Amino acid sequence: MSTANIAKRKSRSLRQARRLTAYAFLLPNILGFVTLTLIPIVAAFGLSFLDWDFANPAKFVGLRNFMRLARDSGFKISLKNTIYYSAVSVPLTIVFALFLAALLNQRVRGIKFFRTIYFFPEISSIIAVAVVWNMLYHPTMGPINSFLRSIGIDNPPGWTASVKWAMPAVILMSVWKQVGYYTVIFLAGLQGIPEQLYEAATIDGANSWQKFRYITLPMLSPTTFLVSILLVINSFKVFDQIVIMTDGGPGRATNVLVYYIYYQAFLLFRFGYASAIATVLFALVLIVTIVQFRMEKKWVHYTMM
Amino acid sequence: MKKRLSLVLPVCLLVVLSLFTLHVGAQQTTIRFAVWDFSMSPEYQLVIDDFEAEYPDIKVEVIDIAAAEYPDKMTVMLAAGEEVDVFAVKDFASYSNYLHRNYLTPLNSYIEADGVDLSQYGSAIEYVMHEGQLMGFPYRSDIYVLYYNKDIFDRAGVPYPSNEMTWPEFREVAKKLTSGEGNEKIYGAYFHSWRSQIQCPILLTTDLTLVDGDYEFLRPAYELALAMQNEDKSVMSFAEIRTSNTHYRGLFESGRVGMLWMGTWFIGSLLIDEHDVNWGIAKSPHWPGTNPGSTVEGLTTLAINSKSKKKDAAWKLVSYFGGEKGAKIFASRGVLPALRTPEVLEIYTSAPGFPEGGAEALMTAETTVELPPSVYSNAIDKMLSEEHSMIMTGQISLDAGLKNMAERAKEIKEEWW
Repeated sequence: MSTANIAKRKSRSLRQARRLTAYAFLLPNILGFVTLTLIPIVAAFGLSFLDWDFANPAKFVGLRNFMRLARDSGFKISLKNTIYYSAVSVPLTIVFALFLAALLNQRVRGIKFFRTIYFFPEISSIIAVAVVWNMLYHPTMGPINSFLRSIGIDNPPGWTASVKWAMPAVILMSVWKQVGYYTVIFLAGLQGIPEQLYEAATIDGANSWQKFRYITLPMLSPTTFLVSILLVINSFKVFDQIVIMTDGGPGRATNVLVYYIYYQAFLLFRFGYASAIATVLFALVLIVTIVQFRMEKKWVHYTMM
Repeated sequence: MKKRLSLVLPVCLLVVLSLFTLHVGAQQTTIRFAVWDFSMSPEYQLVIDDFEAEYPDIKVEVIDIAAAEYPDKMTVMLAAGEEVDVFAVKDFASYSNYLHRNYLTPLNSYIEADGVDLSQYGSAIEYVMHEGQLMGFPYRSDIYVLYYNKDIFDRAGVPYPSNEMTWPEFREVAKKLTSGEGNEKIYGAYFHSWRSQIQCPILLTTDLTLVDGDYEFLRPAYELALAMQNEDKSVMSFAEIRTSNTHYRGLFESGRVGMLWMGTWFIGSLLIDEHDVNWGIAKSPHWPGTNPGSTVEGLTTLAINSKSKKKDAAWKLVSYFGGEKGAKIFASRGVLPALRTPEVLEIYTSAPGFPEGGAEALMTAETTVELPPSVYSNAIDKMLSEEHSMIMTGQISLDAGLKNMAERAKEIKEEWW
């Protein structure tokens, strides 16, 4: 046997062993994904064609669950509220996160301290945070309204007690809570922009705004793209803070889709109908994400350096 | 030799002990009993202790669940087929949920075998009958009465509420009792944020229930409550209660509320909590056109899981709780039992700290329930609470609120299949 042959065989068995190692490492994650995500998703899709209350035998109802959606005022309201939440909270978070990242991307003393501070809300429990914000929002005794009154606003908003202001209140709190996380992603993006581009621009006489507009923004667009996809998906899943802060109220003012799914499934025990809503939510998120990917080419620049 | 003995003795002891436990275990049945806030209600343990002493062959294992989670958690446990033999049914909405999902065991055969006289349990028992079968055995029954703070009345120079007070009179009295501002404010009365506080007393003026779908009869009740909240400012506003998570118990016990319309379960709290309030009770105020003493009644029952394999032992526990022995223990602890024989009521009203003259407040005329059992109960309950919060916070007018209620009740019923 020639040495070349031995080497070849050796490398093949090595490759096989490596592949096995890779699969072994992937296995725990795949197992978790299949049992906890994939199977429930498929099951929910199947359930959406049934009428099932968890106790009595399930009945096949075809598309009736989906037809009911079109007539259900509760579904329409929660869909509208979800879109409202998404449409306001996503851009707000992106703008604030970008702004904070730009601020925190400077070499000044104590910058690590500030970076930690802005990341703090992210690691706090959402339940605790929501309870505290509820106190801040208290219409008569809360610090927010006390402040507003002290600067001359006689009729400050009722926040979570008001139909008009409950959703803005939830959005404001959510933006504050999540902005730290996206700031870190933006910060990483900012630090990946090569210094020489700015140097060149400075030599060409560009001012700070021009540098931001023509260097930072385009160079950051892949990061912005990632952030917007993550944010949109997360915004459609909003639930925890709403349960704690407003419980869907006042009236149905903050009733969002996931809250409505929970209500249909665990209060009314309509598992089929709840699954139909969940399927629609899934489709909605999928479509929005596909559209985002389609639009990617128009504004996202991938530069090879 | 010595060494061997030191080994033999413990082994012998162990064998004897294990034989003993085996022997007991062989004939002992363990019943799993689910109830809410067990650790905060010592009377349950007392009943169980007595029960186990009387039935040494039955052991009761308690599943303690927090009150707020109880309905949801119970539903999931029952659906998952977890081993629960006896469980407490908190209200009629839960009852209808369990009933329609076939978790309840019909009790007539046990009742007939034991010769239980159901006529002693009051009229509300008909709400837990299904097709002629009793589906839950009542052990507690609460009625709404009026609690008042004597010191606040004395300070304002207003006579204590009589047993014949009407709701419009209630408003006038509340106005006179109100004083102060901010955190020191004394509220003449208090309506908790539950929709039942406003929607239920007026049920006695009509034959309709809250699931029927016509809500016009609620108008006078809302007009009264809104006037008290917005014009007289004699009650804490709904928005403030909600946003500050105010609890009626704390507020009344801190001496800031003149009058409170609340269920008799609160008597037990007032007896055991530490506070300085000099309190009294009177009959629930009534709406003109109804009789004094007409009030809202609630029934708490124990049910036997239809999947239980120990139904006979479970029935023994259920009938012990609802029977005379259980009733006397509950009564002695300030908890109003469903079985109200003169003897039981005597124990109840002579508990240390029970307000003087309070016995008469417990005599009822007509009674009704908050929400009768129905498949729609959960959905209607949620809908009414949502519209209630809209009306009370002034987000929509009373007219719009009542209209929404009717429309949404219609939608709920039409879309039910």
